[in-house]
Amino acid sequence: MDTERHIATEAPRRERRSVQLLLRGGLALSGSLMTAGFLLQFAHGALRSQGFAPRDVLSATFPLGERLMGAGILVLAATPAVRVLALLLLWTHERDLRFVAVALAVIATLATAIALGGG
Amino acid sequence: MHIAATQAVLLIALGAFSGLIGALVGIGGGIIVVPALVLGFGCGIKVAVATSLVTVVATSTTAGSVWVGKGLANMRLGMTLEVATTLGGLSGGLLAALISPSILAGLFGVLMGVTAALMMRKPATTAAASNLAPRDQTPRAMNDAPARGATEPDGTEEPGTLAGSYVDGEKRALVSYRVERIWLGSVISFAAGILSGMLGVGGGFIKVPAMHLGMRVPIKVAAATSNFMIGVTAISSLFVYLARGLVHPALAAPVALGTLAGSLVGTRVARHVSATTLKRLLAAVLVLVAMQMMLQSAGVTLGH
Repeated sequence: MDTERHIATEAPRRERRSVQLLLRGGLALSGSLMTAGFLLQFAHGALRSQGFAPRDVLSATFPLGERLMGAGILVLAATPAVRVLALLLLWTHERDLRFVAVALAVIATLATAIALGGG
Repeated sequence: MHIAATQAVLLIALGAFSGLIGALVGIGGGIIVVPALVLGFGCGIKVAVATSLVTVVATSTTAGSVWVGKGLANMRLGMTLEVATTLGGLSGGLLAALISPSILAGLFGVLMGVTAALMMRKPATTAAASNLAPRDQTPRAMNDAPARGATEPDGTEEPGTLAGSYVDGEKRALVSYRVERIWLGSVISFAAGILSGMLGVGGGFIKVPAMHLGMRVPIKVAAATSNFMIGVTAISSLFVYLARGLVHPALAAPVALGTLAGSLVGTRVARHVSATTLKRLLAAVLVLVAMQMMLQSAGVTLGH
């Protein structure tokens, strides 16, 4: 009984804290990168709307500010995906098997959508 | 295209407005950002959609982090519906070549109009509610003790089920709820995913009424759970746009930074907004979307 009660009250709280910490961490990192890049480009009067691919983060042909903003967007885009993985791990740890299956289904569909490029 | 200082400020303001509305009613803000970028900034539709997807993720992550912490977003419900949404998104991408998006947009336009009318007519959810003790006594009085430093208890989820409870700040009551007709929510979420894949929208404006009207989830939980979900719906498309070089950092970053700020303000405001006001705001958004989709169906498409 005590174990069941512990799971019922503590597990959801731990889940919430873990996911909240992860989302806030992603936001802080991406927000800092985008702010730094934006201010750098803004200060130089060099804000230009131009295409950017993920590999350009490492390309010296792009200005540093542009690369920082690009890196921030990549971190932001990765955050929800990492959140799904985190919930998979948390629910696996709690043996909440029904939702482990749900998380696996989301990951499988997301991976298929990204692989097919038609998501 | 060079972005002037005034335009940069306007981009931040656009993101802030989109994030504020998005965090309040559970949408990503694409229906605000895309037309504004196309009509106000002269962007191409694909660049506008790519920028919009970045703001959807920004709204989802910012508002989601707050709602998860407060126990308002039901993560198990969100993940369950994400299965249907992502499957729908995948199907929508594959079906795009077979079904005319204008026919689909017209059908959804009508559906959204009807849903807006239902939102206004539907009486308040009759969830079990119990009045909270005075503020200084509430933490110990509750079964689920508050996080350290919190002044109010948080909502929670029941492991292994889709049920949960949340604290309604306006009524100062703990509201328990159960989720009904998960099949209906899944079917509608699947349809929202198809729409997302075909038309490049987040689909929050479908998910919130689906959860509230179809699955009897309280409107505040529905909006919060939608906020939590839409980031995952958006990233499958966003990665494709990123790979194709359609995301412009100098355009997307200021809008996203504005969105982060607007969403944070939205989450603070939402706690003091009544469910009725939230429904009216959502109904207004639905009417806007319905008009936009019916115009698109009639061939009057922004940016095309």
